[in-house]
Order: sequence, then C-alpha cells, then structure tokens
Amino acid sequence: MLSIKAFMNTSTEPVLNFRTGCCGGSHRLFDLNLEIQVKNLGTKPVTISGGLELEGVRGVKRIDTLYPPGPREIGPGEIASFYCIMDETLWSASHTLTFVDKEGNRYRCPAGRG
Amino acid sequence: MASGIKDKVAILGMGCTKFGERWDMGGEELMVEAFTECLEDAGIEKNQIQAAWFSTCFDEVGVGKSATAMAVTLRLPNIPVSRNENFCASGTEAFRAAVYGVASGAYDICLALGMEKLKDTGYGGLPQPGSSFGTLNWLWSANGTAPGLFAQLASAYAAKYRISDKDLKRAIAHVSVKSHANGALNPKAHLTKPVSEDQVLGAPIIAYPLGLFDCCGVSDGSACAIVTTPEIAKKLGKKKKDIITVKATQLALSSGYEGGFNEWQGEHFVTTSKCSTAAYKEAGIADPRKEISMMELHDCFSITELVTYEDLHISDRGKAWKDSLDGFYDRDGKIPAQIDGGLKCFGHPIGASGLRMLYEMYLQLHGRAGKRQLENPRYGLTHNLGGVPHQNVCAITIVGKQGD
Repeated sequence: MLSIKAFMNTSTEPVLNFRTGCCGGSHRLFDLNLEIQVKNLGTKPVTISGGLELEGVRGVKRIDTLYPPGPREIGPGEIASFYCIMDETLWSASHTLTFVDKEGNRYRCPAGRG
Repeated sequence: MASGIKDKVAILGMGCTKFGERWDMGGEELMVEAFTECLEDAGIEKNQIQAAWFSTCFDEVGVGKSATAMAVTLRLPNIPVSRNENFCASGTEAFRAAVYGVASGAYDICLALGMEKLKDTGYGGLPQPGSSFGTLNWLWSANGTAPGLFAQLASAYAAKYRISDKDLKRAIAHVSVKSHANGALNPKAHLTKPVSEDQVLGAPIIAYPLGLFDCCGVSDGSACAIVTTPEIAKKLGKKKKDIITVKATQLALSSGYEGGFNEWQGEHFVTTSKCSTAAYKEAGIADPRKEISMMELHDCFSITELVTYEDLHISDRGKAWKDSLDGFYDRDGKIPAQIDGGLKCFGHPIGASGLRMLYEMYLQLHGRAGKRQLENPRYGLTHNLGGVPHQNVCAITIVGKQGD
C-alpha cells in the first residue's frame, strides 16, 4: 500500500538547484518544482515505474521525466521522493496524480485543483 | 608558563555578506560588503587597523594567490596582510592569527577577513584539486569524494554503536530539519525555507546513508572581524557589558594516526575530541553540556554534526543520535546548534565559513540576532573543520561576554 503526497513549488527545488553537481559533478538540476513523496505503508516492497499520470480537464498526460529516473523499489516503511518540472497551468488544470506499480496496482493523490 | 587567550582579546566589530550564488558580485565586492559592515560596527577608521589576515582556500578559481587581493580591494594602507589557508578551517585560522596579533602586543587592532567565490567555476562543487592536492594525498584518499568519505564515517558510527539504519537516518534527518528551520529565520542565509523530515528521508541518496539534505553545497560569501584588546575597546566607547571577548581559540590537526587505520575505527574525529578538550581548559569550562549556551558546528554533512556532538564531549559516546531526536540541539533545546542555519542553509564558501559562524555567536551575544535571538546566551562555541575524517584540521573558538 502506497501513500502519495504531491507538493507544488516544493522547498526542495532550491536545494536541488544549489547542491546538485557538487564534488566534480557536471550537471545541475534546475526548476524541479513538483515533489511527489511516495511512502510504503505495507509490509512488502513495492516497485513503481519511473513515471506518473496526471489527469485533469485536458485528459490524461503521462509524465516520464521524473528525477530520479527509472523504476524504484520502495521497502516497507520507506519513503522515496520524485521530482519534475511542472507547468503551473497544467498543474492547476489537473485533479489526480497516479503512480502504477509493476503489478498494475494504481495509487492516486489529489493534484492541482483536486 | 603560557596562560592562554581568555579575555585578552575583544571582538570590536563583525560583518557578513548574504551567502549564496552571488552572481551579482565578484570576490572583491563580497569583501567590500563584509568589511563595510564590520568597520561600521567597530566604529573605527580603516587606517586604525594595523595588521590583517585574509583567508581564502581556492585561489586558483578565486582572487589569486597571496593577500594582495584583499589589501588592494580594501585599500589597506600598506600594513602587513597575510593569507591563511587550512582547508575548510581557513576562516577561523585568519581569526586566530588576528587574535594572536593583538594578544602578543604587536598590534592594537587587527582584521580577519574570509572570502570564497566558488559558484563561478562552472559547476556547483569543489574545484578539482589537481596538482594543488600535493603528491601524497592521492595515495591517502584515492578516488575519494567528500560525500563518500563522510558516508564512511556514518557507516562506522552506526556499526560501532549498533544503531539501525532507520534510527541513524532519522537522527541525521533531524539534524537537517532543525538547521533549515533555523535558516528560515535568517535573511543572510541562501536557503530560507523549512523542510520536513519526510522531505529529507525521501530525497535522493548522494552517498549512502547521506542524502541530498545531508550534504551542504559550496557557495559564495565573505565574513570578517576586527579585534582589539578589551581596554582599547573600552577607550573606543564600548560599554563593558557590550564587550565580547575570546575565551579560547584552539587548533588540532591529524597526526597520521587516523589515516593508518590501525586503531582508529573511523567513527569519530580525533582532532575535534582533543581540540575541544584544550578549548574548554583554556576557557575554564568544566562541564560543556551545562556551560555552553549555543554552537555553530561544521555541518558539511549531517553525520559530521552528529558525531561532533560527541567529540565536543557534550553528548555521551554513542548517544548523540538520541540527543538529536530528543531535540537537545534544536533552537528551543538545551544547546541550540546551527542557530543561523549552518552550512546547510548558508552553503560553504570555504575561506569565509569559520568567520560566518563567529558572526552568529557575536550577534547572539549582543542580542542582535532578530527572530533567532536566544535568551541570555553565555558562551558560544564555533567548530570549523577542514579535510576529511581520516585527515583533517579542527579549529574551535569559544566567545562570551568580558569577565563572564
């Protein structure tokens, strides 16, 4: 069972901007203004894909540009955050954010006006 | 018989720039900004300064070698000016030199200024050391990175005291949450938004168990201090209750003992343990857990701060993680740490950080820390660490009111 929370204009954005690329890194992560915290409340690990669905008045939009990228296994009691650049207009026109695990289970949380 | 530095030197004035990505200023302008505030605070003329020390670490990407950059920028009138570099402890080194300059009787009024401008180097981190790293360090720290080496400190600490991954992660998360809460009250900090424990725990891992919020970034900034004797401070119009004096300033460097990895288990800082003992002796402090009012620690990584609670002999060995979770070091705790937001919120302009730490202690002791002001602080301690766990420089300074 996953708990999902989304935070638009997250306070992590300036931290990612400022701290990434340290110690010889060559790139920095700017403008990742949406943070999605995914917490595993169950007793078994859950693997989610590296993307999400955003549903709203414009239909369903698939977003695959999450950071960190790729599938992610989240252990029981663990929390994993994902970040992306989110257009304010798209966000405010959306009402539901959905992650899907590798078994096809869907986990939702309110988005934008939701 | 040496009698130490206690109450022999007073801080006449201090200044500090806003830290962060200062694209609006070069290194020279940062120096001017900090110095202007400091000079005004001290209430003296520039030509009353008789000697100065300048700390900057990465001259290759900053303002160049020697101290001429500061002497010329501040138009210091042909007085002695020296450059200090001792890794990340450079700022406190400049302060120590100025304090000793006054205490020796060689000068009446001295200046210490630290500045680093690192965000113009093309990327966010420390410049590649290249040939400036010496010849042997490559053997001591082959392929080492700062997060990697400090992550080993965390693993060793957890292993020695049988602390679960979950408890350690929560304890170091609390270190960051606390510092960001403090930084949110400081207009001179770079990062001024509070963060939650879930934000910290969910953030990407940099070097396990250290995540994004457990690591500070390098930065741009400058801070400075003007020091004199308490007697001259009084003659210059400072009231006795307003005179902040140096109670102790100590320095300890690794001897090679740690780097041999024969006995040292990698879970604490030998230098900090010894340096703090010497500092308490110099200041006449018998029980730091009861007598220290506040601290600015070198929180380059959250685990550094956590382990330092123990090396300062404030938390018992193996118990700092519990003190952290109990809020002992929170702003409303017994000994608030990182009241200004620390390296986590200021970032780390190497040569300036030690003086930035002292600036907060100075403001707090004067009752000028605004929303961050603590109630009646007595002794403030700064801990400025340079290098890596197995080979480092530790500088500790304790300040307080004159005669207290």
